[in-house]
Amino acid sequence: MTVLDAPVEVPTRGALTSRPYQVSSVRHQTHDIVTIDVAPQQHPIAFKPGQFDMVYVYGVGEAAISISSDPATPGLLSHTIRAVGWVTKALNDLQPGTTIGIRGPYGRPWPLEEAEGKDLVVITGGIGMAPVRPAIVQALRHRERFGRIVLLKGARSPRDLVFRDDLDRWHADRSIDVHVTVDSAVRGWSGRVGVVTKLIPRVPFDPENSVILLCGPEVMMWFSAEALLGRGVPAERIYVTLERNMKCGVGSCGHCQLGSKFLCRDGPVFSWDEVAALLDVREL
Amino acid sequence: MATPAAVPAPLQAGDPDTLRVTLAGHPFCAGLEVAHVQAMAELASEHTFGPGTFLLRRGYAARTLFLLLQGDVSLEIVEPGADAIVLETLHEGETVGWSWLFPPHRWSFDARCLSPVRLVQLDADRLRALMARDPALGRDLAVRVGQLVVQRLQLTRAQLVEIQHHDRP
Repeated sequence: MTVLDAPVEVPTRGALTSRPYQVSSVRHQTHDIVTIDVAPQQHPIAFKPGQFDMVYVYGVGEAAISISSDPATPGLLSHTIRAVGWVTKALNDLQPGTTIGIRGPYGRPWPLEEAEGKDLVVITGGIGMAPVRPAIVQALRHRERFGRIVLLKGARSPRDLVFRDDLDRWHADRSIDVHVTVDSAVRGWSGRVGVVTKLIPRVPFDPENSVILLCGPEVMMWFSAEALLGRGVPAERIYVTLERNMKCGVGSCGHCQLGSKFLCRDGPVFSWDEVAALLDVREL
Repeated sequence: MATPAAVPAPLQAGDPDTLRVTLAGHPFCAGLEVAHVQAMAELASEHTFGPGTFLLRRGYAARTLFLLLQGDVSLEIVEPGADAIVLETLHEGETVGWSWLFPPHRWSFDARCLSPVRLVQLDADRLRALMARDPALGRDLAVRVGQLVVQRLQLTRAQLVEIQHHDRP
C-alpha cells in the first residue's frame, strides 16, 4: 500500500479543530455589544467559569471569546462580544441561523472552590462582566457555600451597561450586594458616577477572608488591585483574567506569551502575585 | 451676584458637643486632635437637604466646607441648553468641595443632592482664620485637603484612561 492509498484521517474534535454551530439568537446588550447564543444539542460543550472558546466567523477569522452562559446548561452556549476588530465586528453583525465555528473550551477557570467559605468579591469594568457571569451564576446556585457575594460593576456610561437583566434581578432578590458605577453620565442617571476603584475601600467584605475575581481593561485591573492591596487583600487571592493576543488557544503559537506565561494555556485566570510584575514591563 | 434660593441658608449655630462627636466620626476628621475637633465644632452646624437642592453653584463664593453624613450628591457642570454632565457622585463619609481653602474661593462646579442629604457645614471664612491662628491645625487640614485633591486627581486619571480604553481594539 502506498502512502496515497492509505485511508485519510478526517480531523474530528482536535484542539485546533472547530465545530460548526448554528446561531440560535443574537441579543443586543448595548450599541456595540451582543450576546450570541448557540444550542449545541449534538455536541454540548462542558466548561468551567472563566474559560474561553475560539470563535470562528467563516471567511473572516477567529477570536478568543469568553463564555458568558451558565455552566450548568451546556445545551446553551453564549459568548458576549464587543465590536472592536474585524472578527468581532463580523460577530456583532451575525443573524440567527448563521453557522459559526467554535473550538474550546480553553484555559484555567476562576478558582471558585477556593472562595467557598469566604466572601466572594467580583469587580468588573466594561465587557469584563462576561467572563465572570458564569462564576456568579454558579456561586448563586450554591449560595450557602459562600459568605458575602459582592459585585462592583463599572461601565463607561449608563448605555454601556451589559447584563442589565441580571443586575436588576440580583439587586432585587438581594442575593448579591450589587454596586454599579459609570465613568460619565448626564443628569437623569440616578446611580453612582466615578471609577469602580473608588468603591473598593467602602463596600462591606472581609479583606482577610475573601477571594476577588477581577476582570476589565488592564489599567482598570491595575488600579483595582492596588486598591485591594491597600485594603489588605493578599495578592494571591486577587484573581484577574488576561486575554491578550490569543491565537491558537493551546499554548503552541506563542502569540499570547507574557514573559514566561502563555495566557491561553497557563491562564487566562491568574493570581495577582503571578502576573503583577509582568504587567509592569512596558515591552511585554 | 444674587444667591439662588436653592443654595443652603446661612450657617446656623449647632450644639458643639453633638457636633464634636459627629465631626470626630467623619473620615475627614479621623485622627485630628480632640482640641482641634472641638474648635472646628464651634464653627459647624448640621443640616438636611432634600433631593434636587444645590449645595453649591459654579462661580459663587466658596464659604462652606461640607462633610457628608448621609445621602448622595452629584458634582455637575452644565452648559446652557445642554444636559448637565455628572462628573462624579459623592456619598456618605465624603467631603464636598475644596475651593473654600484656595483663592479665589469660588466654586468650580455645581453640587446637587440626589437623595435626602444630611451633612455638617463649617463656616470656611472662620475655619481659614482658625487655621491661620493655629498653624498645627492649619497644616493638618491643608494636608487632608491635599490628600483629597490627590485622590480625586488619581481617580480622574483612571476615569479618563477607562473612557479612552473603550475605543481601543
